[in-house]
Amino acid sequence: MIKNNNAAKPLPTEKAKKEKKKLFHVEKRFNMALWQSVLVRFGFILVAVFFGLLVLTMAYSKINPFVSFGNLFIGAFGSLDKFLEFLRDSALLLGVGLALIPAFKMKFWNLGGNGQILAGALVCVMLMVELGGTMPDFVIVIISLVAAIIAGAIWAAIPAIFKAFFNTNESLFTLMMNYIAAGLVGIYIYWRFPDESSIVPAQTHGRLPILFNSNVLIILLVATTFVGLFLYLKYSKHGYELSVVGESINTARYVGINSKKVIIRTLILSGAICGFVGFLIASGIDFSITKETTHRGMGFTAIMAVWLAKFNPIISIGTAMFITFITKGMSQVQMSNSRYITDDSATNIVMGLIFLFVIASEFLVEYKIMYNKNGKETDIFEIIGNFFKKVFGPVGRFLKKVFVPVGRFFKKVFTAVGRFFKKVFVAVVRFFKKLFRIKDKPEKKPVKDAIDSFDEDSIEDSEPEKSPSKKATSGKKKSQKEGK
Amino acid sequence: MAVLSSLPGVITLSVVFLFGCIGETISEKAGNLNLGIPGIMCFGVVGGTLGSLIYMRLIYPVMPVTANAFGLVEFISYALLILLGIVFSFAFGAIGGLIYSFLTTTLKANQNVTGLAITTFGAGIGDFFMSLLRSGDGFDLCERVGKIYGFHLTNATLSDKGLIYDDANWHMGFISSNNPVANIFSQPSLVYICFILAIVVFIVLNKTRIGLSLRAVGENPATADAAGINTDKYRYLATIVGCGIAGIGGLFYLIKSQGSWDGTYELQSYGWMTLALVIFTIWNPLIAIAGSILFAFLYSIPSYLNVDMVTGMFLTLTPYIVTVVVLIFTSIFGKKNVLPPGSLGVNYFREER
Repeated sequence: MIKNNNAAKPLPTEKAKKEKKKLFHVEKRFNMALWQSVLVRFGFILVAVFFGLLVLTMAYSKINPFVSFGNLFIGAFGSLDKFLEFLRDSALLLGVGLALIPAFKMKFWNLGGNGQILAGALVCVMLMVELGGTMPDFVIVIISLVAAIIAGAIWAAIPAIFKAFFNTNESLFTLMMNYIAAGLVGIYIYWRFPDESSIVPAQTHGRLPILFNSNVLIILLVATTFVGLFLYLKYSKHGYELSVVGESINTARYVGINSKKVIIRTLILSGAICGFVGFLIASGIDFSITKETTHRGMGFTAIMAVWLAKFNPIISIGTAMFITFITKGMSQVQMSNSRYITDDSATNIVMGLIFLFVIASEFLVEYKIMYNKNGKETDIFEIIGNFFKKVFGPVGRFLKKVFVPVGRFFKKVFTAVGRFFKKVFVAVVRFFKKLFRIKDKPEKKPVKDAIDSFDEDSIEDSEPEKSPSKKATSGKKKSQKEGK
Repeated sequence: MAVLSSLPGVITLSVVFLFGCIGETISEKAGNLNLGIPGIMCFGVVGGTLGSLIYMRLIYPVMPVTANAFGLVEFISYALLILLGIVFSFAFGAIGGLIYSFLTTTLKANQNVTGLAITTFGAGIGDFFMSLLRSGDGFDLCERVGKIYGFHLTNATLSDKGLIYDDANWHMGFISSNNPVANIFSQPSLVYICFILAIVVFIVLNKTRIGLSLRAVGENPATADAAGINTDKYRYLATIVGCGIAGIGGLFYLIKSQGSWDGTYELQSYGWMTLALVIFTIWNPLIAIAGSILFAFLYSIPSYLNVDMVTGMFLTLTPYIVTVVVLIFTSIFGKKNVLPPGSLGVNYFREER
């Protein structure tokens, strides 16, 4: 068969050549200006929000998209309480993101944020329940803080150890650890509170102290963690080592970095921060625990947040706030339309769309598409730019042709008018200067002297000039005199 | 005895896992770690509901399925119901797979992140469109469709007295009899389709040239590319077909729950369970048949046994622990054929080194 096919086609080489010449061709992009990448991403986010609102309006024609858009902002900034809650949720999301950044920089796909948060929260709640009332609250807070951090660290260290020594697939392992943690939470609840409809009652002992508002201290604690982690990643030797391991394990080995040690150490840090966030949720917000303590998968949402920020801690502040803003805003949209939308599906659709569009936009930032024409390759962005030049070039030239003479004309006219006005104004200003100089004097001097000098001045100044304005001024002076 | 009486329900549940597991296995064998399976299954539910609603509107009035007589017309009508459901849920799942593979294969986006985004998006789409489709008289239609799917084709041949119709559940045949062994085989026809599909996929993956190329792409795309295999094409095809099959799993979830629907939460947890199952069955669809039954057994056994809640919770937890143990053991003592595909989760870009 194959031989026959070859025989049937007279020039196989030509065909091969044609196949080789692809119309489009993708290359890695190494330099892109920050403003360009920001523009691309925000463009795609706008498109996603547009699509999301389109879906909503298509399905429920009674929802006004503009009102919904307004509600989007009310959800996060509607009142001080809402704003603080928005800040708190952003801070928690950022906290989880901070935990994931070092792991991801090392190319360790820690999908177990949820499990690590739950482990921390579970241990914290257990201590609150068991120790509550037996010792002062601040002691419980400190003990549960330490225990939660250790629990989170252990939960992350287990996959890390197996990854380091046996190269076990970490994304699947950490994913499973999420479910095991959630199961343990369920077991604990049923074991400890079998009677009270299997819910942990809100604990009164061992709560995080309140600073102004219950949200403020949480925000401050996360901010402190942020500063610490930022310095750790940027200036410490550890921070450098983990990025080397992430780039290439072989390089790390060659330089003399013990990559196993680095992997385990970094994941302990990562899990510890997750456990800390779990402590904040359990001890500062919920005072209780359920499988939903992770706010419907904060570990996963945080992955999106830090990935959008390219694992940069500072940018992830912005992305965490953005994601929280959309979540809060969409829940407000849903609440104000609770007759039509009964669940958080609208939030999920809009978030999913935003994620998908931003993921797609990443391609334009990372790669450039080369268009092949007669063996000459050009960046497709350039082609689009040139296209715009071609389309708008003639228009521009036409506008130039029209507007340049018009401009010149106007320039002439306005300069002439300007000159005239200048003359007039100069004259007027001179006139008023005179007027005020005359006016000023009587105010400065005592009244008797003023009247004397007034007369003399007016006679001296007005007599040599013979203009119509002079008469008016003299008339005014006379009337002033008479008045005084 | 409790185990035996639980088996029909267990097998029904296991098929939801099995569809997802087969789909994900195909996708992962080609190197795409698709974490979007829970979302894809939600896509499939929407598609399946749409397909069955079309059936109820267009075909059911012409060719109604009645239990009293089961002739050629009823058979065609029933076959059309199954076909429409499968086609639509496959198509919807495939759309999800198309989005995923476009983002990861063409646009080289990170697979983990893309999968999570698909999951979020799919959950939203599932909740949204299911509440839309079920509003008004759609609700009633869904219930009826769910029950008609429960109409067991196989019993038409199994029963020697002809068809016995259980009015309450639309169950046919032995389901109301006291013979527990016979009950095991009283299943919706999709169950048998699924088991056959698992065998077919195993043969295609391991015994054919297409399967060989697919595995090559998953193991080492650079080598496969050098050997003249179109890696992009294989990854696209594997992911789209795999997601389509997972979408049928979403349809079967609807059948299992007999058309009742309470949000995507449960289906999503099934989807995540599917991901564990793929690892547990070391990427082998034949083992997946047994594995899915085991998982479904562990998942639903507490409701059949008279155990206290804590033990029950622990039993539902065992699938994940077992999966972790399997993952560790395969990575320590693994031969080549039980390890995850070499480039799992890594995109291939020809010009990168």
